[in-house]
Amino acid sequence: MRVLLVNRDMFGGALFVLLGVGATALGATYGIGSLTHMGPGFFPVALGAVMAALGGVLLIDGLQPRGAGESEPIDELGKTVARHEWRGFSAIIVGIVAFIALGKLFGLAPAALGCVFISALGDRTATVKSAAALALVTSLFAVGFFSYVLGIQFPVWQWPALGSGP
Amino acid sequence: MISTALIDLWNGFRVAFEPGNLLWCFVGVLFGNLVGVLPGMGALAAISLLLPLTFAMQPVAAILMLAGIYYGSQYGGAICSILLNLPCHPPHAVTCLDGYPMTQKGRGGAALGITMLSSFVGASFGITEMIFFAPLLVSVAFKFGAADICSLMLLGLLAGSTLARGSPLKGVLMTLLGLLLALVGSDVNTGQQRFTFGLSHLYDGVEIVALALGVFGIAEFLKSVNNIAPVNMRYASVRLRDMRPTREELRRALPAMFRGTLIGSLCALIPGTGPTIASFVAYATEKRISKTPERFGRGAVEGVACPEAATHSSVQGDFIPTMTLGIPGDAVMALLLGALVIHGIQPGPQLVREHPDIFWGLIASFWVGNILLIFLNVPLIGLWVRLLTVPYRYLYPSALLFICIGVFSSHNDLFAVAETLMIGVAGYVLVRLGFHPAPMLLGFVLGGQFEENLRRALLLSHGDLRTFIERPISATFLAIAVLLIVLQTVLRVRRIRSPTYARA
Repeated sequence: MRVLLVNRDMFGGALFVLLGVGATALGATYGIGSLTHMGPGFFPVALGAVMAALGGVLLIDGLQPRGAGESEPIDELGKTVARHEWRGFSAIIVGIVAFIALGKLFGLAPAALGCVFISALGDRTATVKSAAALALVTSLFAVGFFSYVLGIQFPVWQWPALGSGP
Repeated sequence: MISTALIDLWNGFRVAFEPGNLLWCFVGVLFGNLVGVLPGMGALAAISLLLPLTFAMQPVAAILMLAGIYYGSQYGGAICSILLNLPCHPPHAVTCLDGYPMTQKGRGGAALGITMLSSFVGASFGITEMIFFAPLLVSVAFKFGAADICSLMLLGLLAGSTLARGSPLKGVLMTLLGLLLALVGSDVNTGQQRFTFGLSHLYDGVEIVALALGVFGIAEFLKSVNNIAPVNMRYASVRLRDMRPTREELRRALPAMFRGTLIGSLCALIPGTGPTIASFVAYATEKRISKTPERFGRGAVEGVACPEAATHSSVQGDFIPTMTLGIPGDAVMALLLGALVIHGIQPGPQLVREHPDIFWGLIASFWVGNILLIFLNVPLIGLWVRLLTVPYRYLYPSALLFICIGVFSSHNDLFAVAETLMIGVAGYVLVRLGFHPAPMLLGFVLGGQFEENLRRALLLSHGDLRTFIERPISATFLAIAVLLIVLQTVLRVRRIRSPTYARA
């Protein structure tokens, strides 16, 4: 577990150093100005510099060996976070991508069906049947509520026409 | 001053009792209560979900509803913690410590009854505090110059990022990330595009709904999918008559309730300290002053009453710095602040004067909403308990769909959905690395104002940085901020030296 923690802080620190350096470099191109007349780049450069510095502190801190007590990844409620869930991840991410793609091409109803169906498959206990049933019920409700009650600007169904759509 | 406050409050009640507003307040507390009960969902997800729907509403109705969701979900979260030992919402983590043992002893109903009573007492005190303190704070806040506001924001951001649970350093880093995200888009002064990477969708900046739903919605689902333990319903049957506490329980709970209320209202006045800190401080204090500390953790009724009262008085009191200074105490307040800004209302000292209907209407609606909650919770407790059994596999796909549609409707644009997905995945990576997303939202909401005030302060002082320490108000805030950092560092060093502190 010790190795994991070291990796976590090192990785997080390195990430923020990169972000900070990137923000500073990009911000410098916007024009820094002076203290009296701050340019658009002033604040990004300052933020990026502080971020990179603190990220560096975290990185160095992560290199120190530490007791096992702090090494477990815990969430804000103090519970141990379990391992990665590739099935759930891919289902949720593909579900949202499906919403965007189907929504662009066919409209809200197919997008809703696809999104719920695919993401529901991410649960280990889900079957094709249960996911389809959930997709049908949720989509019916969502389309009814958002399209007919609230009247959002999203066609319920359309034939794909390249270049149009929301 | 107090008499004008009371007259304003009377007008506030008129606003809150307007049928439309009353209805939205009811919708808010009902929805909040519902979502608060559902495992794996919290106030943040609930508010961000309904945020896009409020764009078409009147600002008063919108803010009443969003606030209703907030305290409604606090009530709901307590049910989850006490009956199932599942803290759906961070402030309720301590309620579990004694609430669940009470449930195991068959006193779960009484624990819920005590919780409702404590919540109401705490909330009422918090509201009263708001009525009298807010105008006072406003009159002080009008004297603030740009430099003072800057220092105050710095203090608020520091407190918000370092006092929450988890590593203070990581909290500060997340705040910085939030500030940076707030800069995306056109610079207000020069029109220069910053960090837009040529994407025209980003010219208006990062969408707050996308940010909130990305980190509190999608990232949450990525973390929780297949990781939510099946709910143990063994003790979770509560009938109405079980909810009456015994005389002995009341005798123990009442003083604890008032102590909790005081602690919560004190915590609320410090910017950056939300209900989570209030509830932890309250529990620790109650345990320390108790004559029988060994009962804590085994179903001591004080251990439920005190933190619950503290949570609720701090929830209400938190609106004080948010509304009068424009400095939110936690991520939920930051979201509400964002909602106000979307409706074209700038929170700050001028809000009370320019929009008395919103300010006093909100205060009055707190009371109305809290009474509505009592009426909702007592008869509906059975229904809420049954809701606890809704499996996560039905919950998250449906919530995901509502997130997609909600984000879409904020701009009628599918790009926002893709933006949310990106933020969600990035947010998940950060959560796994031990960074909490809440300070980021705080930074994001304050980023624009912070830069603007910094620019103005330095323009007024002709680039002289000493203005921040020469102005007494600003110097005070900075001194507190420095004290905060020094204290945290000292505590951290002590904790590293003595291994017994490691898990405290």
